[in-house]
Amino acid sequence: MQMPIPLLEVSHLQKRFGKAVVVNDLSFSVTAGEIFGLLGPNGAGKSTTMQMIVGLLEPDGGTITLEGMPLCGRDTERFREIGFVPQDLAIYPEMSAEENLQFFGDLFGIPRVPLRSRIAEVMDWIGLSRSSHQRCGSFSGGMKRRLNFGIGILHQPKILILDEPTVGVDPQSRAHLLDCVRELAATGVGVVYASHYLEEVEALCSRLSIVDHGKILLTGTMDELCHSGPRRIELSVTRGSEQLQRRLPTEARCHRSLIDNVLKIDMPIDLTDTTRNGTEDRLLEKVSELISLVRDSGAELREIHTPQPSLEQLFLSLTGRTLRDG
Amino acid sequence: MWAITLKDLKLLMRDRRALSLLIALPLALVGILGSASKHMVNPTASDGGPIEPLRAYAVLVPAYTVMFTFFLVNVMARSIIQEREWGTLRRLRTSPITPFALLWGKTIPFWILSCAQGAVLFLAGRYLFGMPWGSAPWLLIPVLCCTSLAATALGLWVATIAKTESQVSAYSNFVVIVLAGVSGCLVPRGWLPDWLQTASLLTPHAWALMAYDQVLRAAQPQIGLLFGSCGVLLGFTLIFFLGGRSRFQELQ
Repeated sequence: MQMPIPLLEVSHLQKRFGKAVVVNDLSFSVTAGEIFGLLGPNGAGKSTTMQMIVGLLEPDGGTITLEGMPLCGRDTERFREIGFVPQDLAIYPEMSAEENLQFFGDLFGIPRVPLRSRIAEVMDWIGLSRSSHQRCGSFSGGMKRRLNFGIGILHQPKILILDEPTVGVDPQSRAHLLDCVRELAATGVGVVYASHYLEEVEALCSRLSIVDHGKILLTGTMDELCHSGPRRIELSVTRGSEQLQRRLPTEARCHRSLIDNVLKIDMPIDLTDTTRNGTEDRLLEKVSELISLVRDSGAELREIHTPQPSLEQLFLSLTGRTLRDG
Repeated sequence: MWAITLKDLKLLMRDRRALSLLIALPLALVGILGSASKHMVNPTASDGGPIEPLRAYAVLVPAYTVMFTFFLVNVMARSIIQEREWGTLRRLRTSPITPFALLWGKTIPFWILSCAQGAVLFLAGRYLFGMPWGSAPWLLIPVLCCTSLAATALGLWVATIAKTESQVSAYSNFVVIVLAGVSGCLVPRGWLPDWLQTASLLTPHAWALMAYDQVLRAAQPQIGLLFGSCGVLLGFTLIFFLGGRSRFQELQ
């Protein structure tokens, strides 16, 4: 099968601030119509990466190409093909939503007549048609976020860079924004979506990278990532569980229900250094070892299953549970 | 670039407080001090000669025009600080315009405002207070334009040095009050000690005042001296603009 040509390709990107390496050899690519997620805790290097793509920061190493052409320095014409929705709001509160769009449309050199119809289209899309003449300083948080998004897509970019676009918005506005992103991708726009909201990334992105300390820890589709995540075997045992409990490996966590005296065992399985197929075989091997152990201990097995790890479990297993302050 | 200029002009027109500070306040001050000057005892002009009551306006109007032109530093620097706070400066930097166009786009509306402010003050001086415009009034135009350019470029520089609105206030108060005081905007330059008159040549205010003095008070303006002053003002503009531009690039 022929691989699609990447719209955006980030290769071995590096950025230092003083001695601190903020982005370290980071590479990924996005094809047309793809929503690619960059998932990471605060301070992981997501925003710095985004800022390098849109030209706000100069990389210390590596390359960024758009349709095979390098994005370097202040090549202002290339910015016409990139849409950027920054994490912090970037709107003029003293102007109306329509004036904001008019201004940014003029800045991107959209001719007057098509701009007028494009503004109406974007207003309708972001659900602000009825408030188009209202001063946006008086908007709610969700309305401001939607306008922030609308400005980023006004000039019909080929690639859209979204840096946590739903921070602090109500569920309705969030759902609306996510629908807009899906619709845009369906028209062929490539999207890079940085967030630490796992459920958003899970729902939206076809492929994603988990980033921490400026490095990509894992890249793949949701299915691929979850298969490479930490696996567990969960089992419930009724009679004769005391002996079994003594013979279980130390990493197994046991919890006895006071109501029905059922012993619930949660056992993490180390499956590192195995291929995807190898992972499933090794997991089955572990399951059968555990069943034999239950039988030999004279216990009665009620149920056993091997749940697929959630994105949250995978994320925490890779990035740890230490609090991040950004 | 013109989109930024038009947007800033629109925002300026909505900022009534800034407009009243820049136009109504100097007008009121000129009116009050002009009336008071009729009772001044033997005041002297920059050349040391006595000031006729009506000609007091020919000293006051340019002096206050120059001083209030530099009030613009505050308004302009605030505008750039606001762009930073609103996050829009970052958005502007991701749009298809060069940093040079961005800076000029931000500078031009304030230059227009400054020229308009000066024009209003000179028109008021003439038609409200009877101030003479000298033998060649058209020469006011280059002086006004060059002074406004120096002030707006200084505003740009201050905006890139200051990080907060309080810093903008501190720096612009220095620019407005101290530089106006030492250059002869608050009292006629002729009243200043010689060493201060010489030292004040390091300020754009002093050159602007000397140029206005030529236009408004000299029987036959010395064109060389006048355009020399304008040249120095353009030199200040260049220095301030380049200073602001390099600071702006550092900020990026």
